[in-house]
Amino acid sequence: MTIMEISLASIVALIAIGAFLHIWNMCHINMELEKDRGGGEKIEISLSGIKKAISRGVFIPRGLFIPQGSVFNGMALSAWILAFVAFGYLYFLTPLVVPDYNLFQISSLASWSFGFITFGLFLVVFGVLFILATNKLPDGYCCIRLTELYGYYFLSKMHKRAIASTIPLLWISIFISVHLGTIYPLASGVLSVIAYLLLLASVIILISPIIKQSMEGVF
Amino acid sequence: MRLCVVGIGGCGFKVAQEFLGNVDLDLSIVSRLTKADYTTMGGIKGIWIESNRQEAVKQNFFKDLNKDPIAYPGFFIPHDKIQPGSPVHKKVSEIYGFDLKKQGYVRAAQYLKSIYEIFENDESIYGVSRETLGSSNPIFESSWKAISQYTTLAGGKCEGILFIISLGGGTGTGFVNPIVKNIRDTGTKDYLVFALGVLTEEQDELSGQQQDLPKRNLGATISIYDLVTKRDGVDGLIIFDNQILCNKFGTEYGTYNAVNSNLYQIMRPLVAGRYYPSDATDGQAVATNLREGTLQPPLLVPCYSSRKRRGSKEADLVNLALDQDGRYMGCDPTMAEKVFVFCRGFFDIGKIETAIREYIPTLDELDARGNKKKNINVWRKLSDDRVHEMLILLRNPFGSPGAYERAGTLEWRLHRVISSAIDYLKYNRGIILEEIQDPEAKEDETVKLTKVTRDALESYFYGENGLLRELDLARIRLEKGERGIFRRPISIFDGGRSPGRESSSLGIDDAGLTDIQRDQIQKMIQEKFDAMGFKA
Repeated sequence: MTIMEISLASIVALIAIGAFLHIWNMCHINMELEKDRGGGEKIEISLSGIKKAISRGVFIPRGLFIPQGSVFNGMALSAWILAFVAFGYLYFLTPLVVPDYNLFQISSLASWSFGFITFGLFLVVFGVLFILATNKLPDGYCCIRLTELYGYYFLSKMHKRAIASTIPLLWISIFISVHLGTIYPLASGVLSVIAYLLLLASVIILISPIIKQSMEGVF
Repeated sequence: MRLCVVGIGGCGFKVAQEFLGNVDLDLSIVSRLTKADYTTMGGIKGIWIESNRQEAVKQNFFKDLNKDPIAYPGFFIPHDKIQPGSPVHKKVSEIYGFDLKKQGYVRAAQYLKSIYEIFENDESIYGVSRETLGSSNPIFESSWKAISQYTTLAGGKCEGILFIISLGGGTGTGFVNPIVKNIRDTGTKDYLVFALGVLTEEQDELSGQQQDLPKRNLGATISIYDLVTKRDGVDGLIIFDNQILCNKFGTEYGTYNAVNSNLYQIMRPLVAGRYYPSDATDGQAVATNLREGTLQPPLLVPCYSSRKRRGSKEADLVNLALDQDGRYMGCDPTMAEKVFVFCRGFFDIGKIETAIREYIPTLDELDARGNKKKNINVWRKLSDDRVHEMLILLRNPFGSPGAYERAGTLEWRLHRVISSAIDYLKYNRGIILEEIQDPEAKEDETVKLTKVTRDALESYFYGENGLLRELDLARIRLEKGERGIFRRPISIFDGGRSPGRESSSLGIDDAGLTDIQRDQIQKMIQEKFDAMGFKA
């Protein structure tokens, strides 16, 4: 495995861990609330318990959502979309990391003057559609709606600023990836690592509220 | 339950700011472009009512609602409704000697009380006011209008109001009862209204207070008196002792910043959102619980504790809150009639109740039908998992004979405040009746009272049924360990008698009753209500 392949795997793994911990956190809160209600089927903190929660849609009650502010929400969603774009640009713009699935497979688009930006816009539209799709989930799954993701966590202003600050980091990562795509077939290991580290740092910051709550509340 | 926080006067401004901070990102350009909502903890809303424009324009947290009615958060200057030299302005000045346009009004508790009563009772004033301003009581009605937009009573989302005032006798307390009257006049007797009153500290050197201690104590006494004797008034007066707050958190560089932010932290379990689904409640239910079994608005003593989640048990937090260090007003918790708990974290309701009953065994008393009284109410909310916190409000934790001699009890503190107020009344009669002095005012700005006002104040303070006599009785009640220290509402422009609408529900004038008769009637009504299964 090359370094870039490992980096790709690390980003995917990080997001998967974030998703898992988010569901874990919600199940944990639900379990505490269930304890209080007495009776009723409890959701256990285990893989089977989480599977049951997903199948039955018995996550956290909607009433526990706390608004974090529309400016923050806008920033956070933008950051997630940019993270998706930065991820796509870093690994799927040139054939260096994933030779079979990348923009260069569509040669007309890759060689077109607006090819990169079209690819970026495609990623943005895909990201937005994905967010909108999760928004359609029923109330039982409300905590999986990406627009409400942070509404189930306590975030300090400092934490919100950190999340908003990922936007410039991700833009830099995207610009570096675009540069790498432009100079292809030449490559720059240093720039690739910088783009990766910026993306990695951003994803860690974006999922940090989830990790923080898991550390404080569950473990 | 979402609350509307109404800061009144200087203290209200500073504390309300803590409650109303925007939790969203501070990007003013983005906020303006996207017309972003102002987001606060627990979705609370709020406003600041101030009487001194010069003070109000010095700050930039609250925006001027008189200039931009949709600005948020905003401040409102009620006396802006009255134009200088207008018929109302002139008439009040001619008849009573009060200047309605005076910046900051006058720092004496009887001043706003007088203004309110003048507009309520004097036909020549409210008639002119209605004709020229379209409102019979413009100062208080316009204040209510500014607040009501956030309440469920006028299309808003707040199911209750939390007034934040200083009990020092400035502008704070004079507004609460008139505004609550507006609320009750809408027919909503059970709309939740709390008043959070800060009793000013005893050590003057700590404070940057604008009045000396005896005068502030008179102001505080009048404020507490008016708040707890108005039966259709607030649902509870949460009373903080600023001396305790200052001792605990310090007054660095003569400011109260640490005190204000800690006061907010103590009250956070009450205002925060995220109720347990099983504990979700509305303002009406809380109001009913607060007033259950009592005819007068109760005094609520706040006790607070917080601990890291790890290893913190319900009993630890309860004991920590109820012990000396957790009390924010001196009291004996075992004297409490009822207990209201607002907590944040993962808690077992049964364990909280058990811990409280162990601390306050008298809560297990039975009612007239032999049923266990529901004397402990617990509302739980989720916290951030790191810290668990608990706010316990003790209802009327006093009533022990001789306790007024023991430092640290509520009886002791109130006895000192009332005694100081009595002394001030006795030895400053001339000042009180001749003019209402503002220490900051130049000589020609001092309010000169007319004979009508002087006579009314004489009767209110020193009359046969006046405040001085009532305070003497209150002091005796405290010494004997009786509950209901203040009992009879007194008005200024009614010869020191109770206002007509405040007479007892049996149609008997309270003023004509002895204390024993009043207690007996109160007991009989309560027993009757208990037997019928009603709440008083």
